[in-house]
Amino acid sequence: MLSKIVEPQASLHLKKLLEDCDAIKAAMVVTVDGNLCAMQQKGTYALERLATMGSSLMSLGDTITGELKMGFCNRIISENEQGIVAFMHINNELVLISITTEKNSLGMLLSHSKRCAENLAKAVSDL
Amino acid sequence: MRIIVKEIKLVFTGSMGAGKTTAISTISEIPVVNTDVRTTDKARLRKETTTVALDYGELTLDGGQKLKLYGTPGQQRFEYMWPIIIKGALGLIILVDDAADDPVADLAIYIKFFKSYLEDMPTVIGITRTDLKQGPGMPAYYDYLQNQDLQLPIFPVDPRQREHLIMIIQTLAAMVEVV
Amino acid sequence: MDITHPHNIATHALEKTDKIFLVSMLDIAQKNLDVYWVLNEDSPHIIFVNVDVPEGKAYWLANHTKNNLIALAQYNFLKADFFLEKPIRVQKLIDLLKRISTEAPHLFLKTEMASKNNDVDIDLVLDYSESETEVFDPSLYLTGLLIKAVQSRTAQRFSLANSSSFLFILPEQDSCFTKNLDFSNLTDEQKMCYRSHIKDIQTEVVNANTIASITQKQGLKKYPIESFLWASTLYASRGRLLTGYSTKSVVQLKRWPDFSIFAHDPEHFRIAAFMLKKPIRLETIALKTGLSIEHINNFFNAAMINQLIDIKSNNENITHKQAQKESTKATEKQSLFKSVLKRLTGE
Ligand SMILES: Nc1nc2c(ncn2[C@@H]2O[C@H](COP(=O)(O)OP(=O)(O)OP(=O)(O)O)[C@@H](O)[C@H]2O)c(=O)[nH]1
Ligand SMILES: [Mg+2]
Repeated sequence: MLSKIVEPQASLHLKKLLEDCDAIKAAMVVTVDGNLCAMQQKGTYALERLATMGSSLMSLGDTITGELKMGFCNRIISENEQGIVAFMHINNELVLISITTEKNSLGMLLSHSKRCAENLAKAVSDL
Repeated sequence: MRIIVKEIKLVFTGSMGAGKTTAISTISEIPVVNTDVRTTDKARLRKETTTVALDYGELTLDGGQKLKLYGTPGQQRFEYMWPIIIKGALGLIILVDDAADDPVADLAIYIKFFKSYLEDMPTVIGITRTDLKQGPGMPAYYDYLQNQDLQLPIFPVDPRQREHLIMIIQTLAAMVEVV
Repeated sequence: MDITHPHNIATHALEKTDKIFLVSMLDIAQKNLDVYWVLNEDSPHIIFVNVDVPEGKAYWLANHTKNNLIALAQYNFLKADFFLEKPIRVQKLIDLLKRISTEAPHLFLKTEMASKNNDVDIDLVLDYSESETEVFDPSLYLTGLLIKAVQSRTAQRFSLANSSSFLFILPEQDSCFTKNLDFSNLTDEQKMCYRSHIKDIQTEVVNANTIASITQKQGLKKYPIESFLWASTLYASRGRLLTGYSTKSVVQLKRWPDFSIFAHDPEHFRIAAFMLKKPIRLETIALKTGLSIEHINNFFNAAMINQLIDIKSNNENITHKQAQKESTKATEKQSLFKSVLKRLTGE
């Protein structure tokens, strides 16, 4: 089961992500079919259901870009009254979801998350 | 003012691998909007891909009206999608994979979840993959419905076959008169 | 008045004067009749028989079970259903012909259909050639033969006179074998087979090996026995109910019939829906669906033979008013579904 296999690596990278970037309050790695692999957070968010929702959304994102022939869907950003959520592919089996409550930290959120995703992709490609 | 129903929305729901995506592909005239992704867990043994958001297909009727076919994800962790997708539906089709581990329990999940809709939405239950002869067979489902005191059409179907889907829609059409 | 399809009258053993009387009376009577009646000795629908003479009486006794004879006599000593008193009077003739038209329409359908050939709905062709009863007795039809075969566990071949075999039954496999069938659209010929009276069906005991080899050679398909219990009962019932039931019987389907193995027309889905939802009278289904009671009865018999029906006590309590109100919204949805089906079936 993929989620179990990547769990140690994913936890490690998520931990680093939250340490490296103050603005990021929570992050999780989920499989494209909605299984939670790992999560880290600085608060007490109920994140479990976000795993399946994140996979639905990412898949819809891919469906939309496919429909418009815009290539691969890099990420989906949800900007909200009290924060931002970003969904991005790690590879074609894993999705990274990261959350900030600081409305003007979009840049930070994205750049750190992107690096985390890239590193994680490399790490799990050997598994 | 009289509201005329211009669009017909049918929803396929039911257990993982029962054939919801297949059913919609069988009758849709457009390429099905597909949110299937690679299966990464033990369900992989059963199926390479699984629906994680929805399926969507269409069929244009003579008057230009559109029949809209929606499929839900089957796996229960996606149940938050179910009420979103069923909104405004004119009919519900529950498909259950007879060859699954405990298909009667699967049926029960959907019956319970959609209970409040069953009262006034024509509903049909199709038992799929009966040809594999791995399941409990029809009487097990009859018994379940009887114990629940539910008078719903239930019969074996193969969602790969157009005639079977026609039969499902014929049944829904008939149920409209009595719900 | 449709003069292209006249109803033909013949006579038997009539005295010359009676015949002349009959012809001229018929001429006068014609003005008061909806149907065009002619004397046509060659292909008669009905035959006036002078039973007052020995030849006529013998003819009557030999043929009256066909039900198309009218006894002509001074009084009805044979207790004939259709009787015309001598001497013939116009009003009595009018009354009689009207009665025959309404009470025995099947007499006229048969030859009309035969002469029209194509495009006939076999379900409407009422073949009452054997003496008819009010109730449907399944033992007189293929249904009965199938049940017997199952009970005695003997494999059999069924065929009609002058035609090849149409069905094999192999009880040990709970199966029948026949050519590929489309139960949503049986051919007239197939319907004719399944509705056959036992006197027209030849049965032959065969063994399983024979069936297997014929099945292979002729590419026959395997079907559950229920399929043919259903088809035979559905088509042989011809509007008559199984004994013990009436149109007031309150019934409910135990479960939805699997129409992929049961012969059906589109209306059977509607009948099934009403029968499934709650206990209901057969006559109420006819009322609500707008279908003929015969249509409902045939379906009921077929479902009953296949043990799909629960008979309920007679306490149905649905008011028609309610039913009416519900149906407006339903009609709209129904027409939507109809267009979906039209599109899917490409009709
Ligand atoms: N043998 C057999 N195979 C069937 C039958 N019905 C469906 N299948 C196959 O079973 C699989 C069903 O897959 P899907 O259509 O993706 O199932 P689904 O209900 O959309 O599954 P989820 O989206 O994962 O919930 C397909 O490979 C079909 O070809 C059947 O009646 N008999
Ligand atoms: Mg699917």
